[in-house]
Amino acid sequence: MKPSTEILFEKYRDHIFAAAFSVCRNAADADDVVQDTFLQYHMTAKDFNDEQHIRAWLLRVAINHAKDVIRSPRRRRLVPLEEYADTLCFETPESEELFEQVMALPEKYRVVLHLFYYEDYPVREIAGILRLTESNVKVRLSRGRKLLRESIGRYWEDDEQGKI
Amino acid sequence: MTNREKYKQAFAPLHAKGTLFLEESRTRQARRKASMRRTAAACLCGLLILGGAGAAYAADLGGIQTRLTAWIRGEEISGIVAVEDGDGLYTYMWDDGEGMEEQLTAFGYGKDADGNEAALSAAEILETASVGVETDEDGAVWLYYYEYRVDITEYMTDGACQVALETDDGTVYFDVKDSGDGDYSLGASTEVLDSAEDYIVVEPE
Repeated sequence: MKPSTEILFEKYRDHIFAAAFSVCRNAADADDVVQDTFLQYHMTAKDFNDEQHIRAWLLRVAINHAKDVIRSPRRRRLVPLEEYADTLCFETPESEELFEQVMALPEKYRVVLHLFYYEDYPVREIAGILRLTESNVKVRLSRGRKLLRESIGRYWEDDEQGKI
Repeated sequence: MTNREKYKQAFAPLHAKGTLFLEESRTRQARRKASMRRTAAACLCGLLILGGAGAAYAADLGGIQTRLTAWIRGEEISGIVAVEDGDGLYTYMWDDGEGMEEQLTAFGYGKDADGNEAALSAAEILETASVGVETDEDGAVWLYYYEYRVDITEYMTDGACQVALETDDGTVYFDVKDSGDGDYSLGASTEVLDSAEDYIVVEPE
């Protein structure tokens, strides 16, 4: 199956943007990643098994593009993260604090946390998307949670013991 | 509220631009591929030799993988694992000291001996990372050729320069031209078409 690019764009663009942003920490770069990801989908002759297969493929391509962006010396950094965060409408101050603390984590933890908490992927599927071992994903998830607990305290509760 | 709900609430304000610009993205990617193709054409001229060997299978990472060694930005990286995604797209991973991690994703085309466009193999694509020109975050222009890295900023005049570098392969002559938007076209040859005197001899770091 291969649904039209336009339909998928409407459905997943914010998810792809959020995943790319969790890597790039820059809206302009993340928007470029979104466009490039859907272009790659548009051009691929790949036959997908189902929509979950497509969703995982889009996220994987987007995260890879985003990693390439942050490693490029030609990367453009038009707006600092703090300035961009000031333009967002967070529901609560705690949400804004959580957003900023996640963005302050090393990239390797950010992307794993994002796939787990935002995209609801289990460890096994995160390992498949990121081409990491499951044990590596578990370690990154555990360290990322620990760093968040240390930085924002009680708002990030210790409620996932044994739930990975 | 669970941590998952808190996380989703925190990231809910993020939204992508609402319009899909396929043509604009196609142009941007074409520029990148053109840049890679120029370098790849030089690679296929037989100037460059890439150490690489064998194929291995590792169940925990999935797929048939090729293990390679390459010079990337003047640094030798061994144990690079290349995995093909099936679309001619390769993902390269190597151990950064904290475990195997994806470092580079690329696809590209080069020219064969008859001048025909041909898809590059995993090793050939990786070769393109062994030779190149980039501007770093401080604005310095760097030329990379395997283990050699040369700051050529001072030699760039009107966005171009011709430099010669003594290497283990003999003297290599480079024609560098700024293509704009951060990209450079690069010609590299052990033979010089015009006059060798036109080339500034540069010293690697």
